[in-house]
Amino acid sequence: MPDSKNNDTGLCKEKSFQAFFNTNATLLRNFLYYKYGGIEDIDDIVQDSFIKLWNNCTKVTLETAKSYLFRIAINQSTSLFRHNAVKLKHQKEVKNINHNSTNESPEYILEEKEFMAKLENAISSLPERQREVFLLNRIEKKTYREIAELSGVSVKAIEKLMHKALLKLRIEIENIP
Amino acid sequence: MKMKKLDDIFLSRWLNNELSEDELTQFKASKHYDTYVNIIKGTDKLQAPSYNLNEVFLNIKENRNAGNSTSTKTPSKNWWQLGVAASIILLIGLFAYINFFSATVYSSDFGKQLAFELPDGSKVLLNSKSSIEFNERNWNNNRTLKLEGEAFFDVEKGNIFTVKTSQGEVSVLGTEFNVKAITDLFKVSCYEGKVKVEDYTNASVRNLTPSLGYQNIKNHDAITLNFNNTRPEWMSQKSVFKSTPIKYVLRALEKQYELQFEYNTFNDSVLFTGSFPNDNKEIALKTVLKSVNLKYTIQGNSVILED
Repeated sequence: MPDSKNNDTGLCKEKSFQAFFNTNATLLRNFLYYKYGGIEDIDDIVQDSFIKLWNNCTKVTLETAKSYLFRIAINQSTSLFRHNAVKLKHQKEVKNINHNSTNESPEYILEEKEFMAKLENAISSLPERQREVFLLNRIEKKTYREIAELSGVSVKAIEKLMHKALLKLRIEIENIP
Repeated sequence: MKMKKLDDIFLSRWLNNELSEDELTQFKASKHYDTYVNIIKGTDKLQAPSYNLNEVFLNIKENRNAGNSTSTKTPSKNWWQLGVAASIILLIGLFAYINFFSATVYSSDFGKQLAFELPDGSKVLLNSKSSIEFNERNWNNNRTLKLEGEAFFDVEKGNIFTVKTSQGEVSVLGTEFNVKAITDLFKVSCYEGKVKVEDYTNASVRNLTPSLGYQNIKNHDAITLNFNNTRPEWMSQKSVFKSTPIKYVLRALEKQYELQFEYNTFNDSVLFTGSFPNDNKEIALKTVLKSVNLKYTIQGNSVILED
């Protein structure tokens, strides 16, 4: 292992590494979370992937760092994970809006709650690639191109996964009474 | 359901607003359309559990500096011990840092006075609704404190002792003095030794010897005062004023008795010379307000002055 602490260019400097960390850590963590679920293991993998990247900072440029980071993380996690349920939270502000609005009946709120439960179940039962792509697009607001770049596949492949994910969610939800 | 082009990326294109008008109309007419809309609406309300970036980054730094060789599973014993050592050092460092830079604050409430000693044995008596802030750890090297309100100081001999206020600062070697600094009013009285007063508002500096005071009230000329007493009157349960605009006397009453004066119009720059007791609200109000011919009614904490 090269002594990267003495290398003062690019990613090795603490400040630039921290900036890189701040822009990418949440995305990587959520990416793994959407894919696999299970918070604790994922946080370890994120940490470890960043340490690995830092220790190898002389071999990586700022441009290649992101895909290198995601590759380390994916390699580490595929061997570790079985399928964990993905648990997502409602956003607080949405709840507040529902409580305060006058034109929504209690029945409506109850129905919405039931629907959200169904939806979360359906999302959990998606195949991991579909879930990862679907949630990156919907929650992280990533474009198909950005998602494609993260996992090194074509935009067309992502579009197909999105389509399949939505189709499967619809079938799942309509089939639950 | 028949679509012109029901391809295998149809729904992706819908999400990206890439459907043609015909396709969209057709899609909206389908019985599944509402479910799709609900799925998207519902998912958009979801979020991943929160993530503490700073904490994680600290961990990364620590593990990296401890020479972690990047394995996730079962780190070696040595590595673990190094990690603990590093975090203990960090903790100690953090505590020292907090103690070193954080200020000690004393403050008194309405009608309350507070006596305390500084780390060098100098004594402070804080009048009501006042506060003092200083750095306890570095005190012996730098005897500087910040004052808001009014306080009496009995200073032990030693390094220069400075009281900073928003309007000016007072510095001494070893002495007894009183500083009063409230909005628009800055007053210093020297009881023992020698006091140097620097007034920020008119950029003047002057030295006070015992029985001499300095007073600067906004819109009045700064004056030097002579007095006979050996302690500020507020320490003997009395508040004394000499040629002081009535509005500052009312403010002193407000601070002492937690009151609020309400008035429309009256000449609030009328000068008041006299005193009020610090332990009897009725007499205090009567003494001050009668002497300037003001009629008043008391409602809870409010004193309403009649025109």
